[in-house]
Amino acid sequence: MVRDTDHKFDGVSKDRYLLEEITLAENPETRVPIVICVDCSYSMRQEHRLERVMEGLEQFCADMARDQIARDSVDLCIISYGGASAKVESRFASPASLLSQGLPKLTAAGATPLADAVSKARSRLKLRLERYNDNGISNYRPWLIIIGDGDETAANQELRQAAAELKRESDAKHLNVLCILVGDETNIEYASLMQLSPDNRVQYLRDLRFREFFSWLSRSIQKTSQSMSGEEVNYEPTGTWAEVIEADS
Amino acid sequence: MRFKVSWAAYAGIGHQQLGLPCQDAIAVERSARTVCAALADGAGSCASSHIGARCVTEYVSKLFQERFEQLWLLDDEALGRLVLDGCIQTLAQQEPPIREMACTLLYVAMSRDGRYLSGHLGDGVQILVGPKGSTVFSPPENGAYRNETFFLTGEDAPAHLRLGRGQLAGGGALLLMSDGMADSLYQYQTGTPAPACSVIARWLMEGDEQTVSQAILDNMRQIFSAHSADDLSLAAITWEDDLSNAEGGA
Repeated sequence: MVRDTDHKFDGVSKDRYLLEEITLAENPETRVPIVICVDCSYSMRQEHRLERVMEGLEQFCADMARDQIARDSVDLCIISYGGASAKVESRFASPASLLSQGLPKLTAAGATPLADAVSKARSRLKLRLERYNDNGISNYRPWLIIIGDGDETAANQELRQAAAELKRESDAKHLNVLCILVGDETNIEYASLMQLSPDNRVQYLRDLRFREFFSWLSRSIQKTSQSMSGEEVNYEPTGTWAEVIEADS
Repeated sequence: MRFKVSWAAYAGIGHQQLGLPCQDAIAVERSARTVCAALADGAGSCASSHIGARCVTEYVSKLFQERFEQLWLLDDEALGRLVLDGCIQTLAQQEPPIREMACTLLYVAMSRDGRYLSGHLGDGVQILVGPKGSTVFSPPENGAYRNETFFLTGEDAPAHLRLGRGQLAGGGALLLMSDGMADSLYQYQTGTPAPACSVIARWLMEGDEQTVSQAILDNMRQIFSAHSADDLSLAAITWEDDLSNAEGGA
């Protein structure tokens, strides 16, 4: 076998042995679908939480758009949940295209329809994966990121059902779920997010460190988009930007 | 039939940057009567998968080269069991734990009368190039996601080892490649070979083995590595009727 380190043949091959690009396959970059659900309930006005989320999100898109592989891999959808129901603010798109069209302008008002956000996220993801499949595009395991500062307003059967579905998909390694909690340390509400978290962990974001969180997410997605067949991706610990709250703590 | 074989493996840019070895391996064995090429792609998350890939390719290529006629008589179930058990026993003799040597496996063994036995577990692709063009001989098998596949060391390996056997006549070529190479030579959307497969086959039909092995490596360095950061490996076998020796000819 000829290996990279072998030099037993003199010189390089003649040009006639170099393949032309036109003879090669053109495979699209493997996609990393990400849905980010952003809490837009009234309480997100406090400490400018919502603005800080969007600043971090913009930074994340810029980081991804600069990365040679991730810019063609990342496929991002933004869902807001505030008021009576959740809303798809931005359909799946590349970070560069999101930046060029401008990130959605979110406003904080009303209640916290968390279960509806999960339902819409799952439904959008399902459609997107079907679209990939129809077009022969491969993908990495999708991400669902839920950012919030409070509990589901109408705690109900829907939330339990959403939690059970996320748990099932996560256990089957069909979905990465990350629950990010913001809010007043002395009065945090995390019961709903904890319920939705398949590993019974919520990442409490101290001091609204969204930039640090989105930087971590950028590195994680870069690792994912560069991972090779058979490689289990090991993400950095979240301790640099979050305090992990576990179900029994 | 007369055979020619060329092959090369190249550490992908991802592994070069991390100072890691190439986790793809190829072994070729041949005698007057048979030729066998085996290729394995070590699992990226296993530290010793390059050892596993090397060991199983050496084992499988030698097994089929030495015992082709006996293996031909086995049914697929017995043959698959023999291949997998032999691979695991070979890995068990190595120092690292077996689970740390996980790898895929692709092989093709051919006799001079045109009969072939082939096997494929996991991703990577086998392409057949004939007079009428190239077709997929064995497609990749991934898990739910592109970076998930099946390995020799998995409990589910027997269910995923795909065996083939038959007769090839006239002139042609078989290309065995890892998934890194497949990014350039296999169109995933349509499940079809890229035109370059026929070009490489023609190089080997018309040229000598060493020159073509070097050409494959040069293309890995200059062309294919721009399409994938993964390790790259490719083995090409060509055959043509040996008119000077009609023994067993198709």
